[in-house]
Amino acid sequence: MTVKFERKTAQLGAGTLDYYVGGETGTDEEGNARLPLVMLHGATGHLETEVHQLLAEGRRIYLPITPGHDETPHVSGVDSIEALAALVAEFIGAELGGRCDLLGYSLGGWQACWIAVNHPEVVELLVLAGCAGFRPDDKGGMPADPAELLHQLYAHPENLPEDTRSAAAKQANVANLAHYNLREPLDQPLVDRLGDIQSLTLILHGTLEQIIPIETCRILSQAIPNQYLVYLYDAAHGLHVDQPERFHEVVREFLNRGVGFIVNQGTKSAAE
Amino acid sequence: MKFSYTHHMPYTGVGKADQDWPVPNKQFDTELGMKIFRAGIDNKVFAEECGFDWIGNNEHHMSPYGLMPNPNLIGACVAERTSKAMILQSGNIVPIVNPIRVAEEYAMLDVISGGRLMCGFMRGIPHEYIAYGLPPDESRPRLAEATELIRKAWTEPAPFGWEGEFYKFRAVSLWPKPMQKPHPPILYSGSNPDSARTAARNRAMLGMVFIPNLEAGRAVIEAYLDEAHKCGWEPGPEHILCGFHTCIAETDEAAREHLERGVKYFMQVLMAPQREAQQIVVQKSRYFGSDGAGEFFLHRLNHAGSRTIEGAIEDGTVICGSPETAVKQIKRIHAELGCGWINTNMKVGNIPNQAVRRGMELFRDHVQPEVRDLSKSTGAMPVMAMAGE
Repeated sequence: MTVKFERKTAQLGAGTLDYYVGGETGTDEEGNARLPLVMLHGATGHLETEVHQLLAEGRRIYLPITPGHDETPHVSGVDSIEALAALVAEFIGAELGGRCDLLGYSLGGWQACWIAVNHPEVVELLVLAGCAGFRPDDKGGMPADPAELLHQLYAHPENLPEDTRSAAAKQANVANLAHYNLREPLDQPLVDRLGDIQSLTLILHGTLEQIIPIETCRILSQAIPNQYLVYLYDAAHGLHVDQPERFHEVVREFLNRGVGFIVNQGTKSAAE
Repeated sequence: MKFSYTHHMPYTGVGKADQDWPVPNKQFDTELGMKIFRAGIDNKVFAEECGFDWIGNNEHHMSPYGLMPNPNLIGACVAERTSKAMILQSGNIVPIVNPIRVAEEYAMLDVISGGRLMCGFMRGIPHEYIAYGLPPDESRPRLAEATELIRKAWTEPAPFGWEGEFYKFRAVSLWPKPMQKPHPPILYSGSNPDSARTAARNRAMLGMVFIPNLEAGRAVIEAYLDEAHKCGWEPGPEHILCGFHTCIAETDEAAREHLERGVKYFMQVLMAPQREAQQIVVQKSRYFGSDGAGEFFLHRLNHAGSRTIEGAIEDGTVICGSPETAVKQIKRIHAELGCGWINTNMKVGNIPNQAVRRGMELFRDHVQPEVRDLSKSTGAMPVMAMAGE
């Protein structure tokens, strides 16, 4: 069954935050309600893909829109990645009952790290996919040539869903990043605090990734206390588009089973 | 020019040739098996004394063709008794076994041997997929994914997981890691243009065996060189290994007599049962792509037995004769193929071990001194790292 994501607006202390929400809250093996999953989009903004549908089976999903993206208003005083993280943390506190599982893709991963560092009380499990913000020596980065950019974003562009947004709208989203002063490819203050992350963390990296260098994985895996690094085979930067089933499989197992996700459960249930 | 010595441990005690595959093992005599292993390992150790640069071990299953379903066991034996020659595992049939196990055992061999391992990443021959119950159609994509996974396992500095098409591992951290950095050199088999291109894309050495003639071999090498160029690297002679049945004796006549007998046993006893199985696999699966490689393989398979030793010598597909003749043949192969390595298979079928050992001595004393300088190489091992390694 297709999950319909509704667009809503949250009224927060500093201003408004638009978001999409969909999926029904499911329960874990002990009958407890699953935490909602907050997914933070990348630089070009939110684009609903197969992965959103897959993850929304048995889980309530929230998809905040970065203020200024998709013609949404900026929020006064929110002009840095750290401030953006604080806004999302406030959103989690106000709208989601104060705690969630958090998945950040690319730019969203950068935000997610700041949320986990500064607001650990709102994050249970953390997933960083193709995480931006940790590119030493300016390695990687998005190429200016559109064709090359598409090539580096997707190993399987045929998997892309129909995107109704205009090229200008997507370009405006990328231009909006300037509002958050994202000049440094390596966020050293954040690197220095990665050790404060309390959440069990899953780091995902495509084997064909070029925009985010392998050094990002080294930085994250060495600094975050409790983490697992998983390579998604045959995936470029847009790893959830290139390999939606693999992405879903590993994320779902991580979210459902925490550290237990490293144990192969086989195909038979324990009851059998 | 450098040389490899391969001995695939053929079982020589088959009385009545069996046409079925897997070959019923009622004819297997354990005492004879033990003697074959001992003689085979002794010969491999002796190869180092004879100046061979590599000592090769290969993997085959469920037939008297070769008694090394796990060649790494033999590689470990040879590593312990040698000190200079590289241990060429040519190799593990990567798609049919657990790739993490391959990474671990190769890393062990590299450390045990003091960094003398050369890793073959083989796709195998079609019937091996029946032996391990895996779809032949998946052989190429399994090899591609396993290759990336193994390289990652060798080079990652911290534990990692893998979510792939065929392989899923959530926590990998190799102990030991290989001694050679970033990892041991890799060799792919490639006896048709498609496989040769795969080797080039993986920045691996090309290992070519059983070519029908030198012209066909040259076409395979050209495909390898062209693809490597497209991928941004330029292989040299040191990246190309060509394998040949080899029989060297005091005279041309003696060598031909030995090889004729060995090839007869090889073709009629060792190859016969798996030839049938290979035909079934090739005809009933997509083991080969649609570029005619399957037809090429079957043609080669079905016509190899009908070729005379004289014809093979004329075609340049065997090395057979007195030392003087062998030198001429090697020079011809080098001139026409431009390979920097020759792999010699001297234990062809049931050639007596005494004749094999004598051939090795003749190679040492009279052949190698004449051809060693044919292909100048830096001597460096051809490790071609991929991005990120």
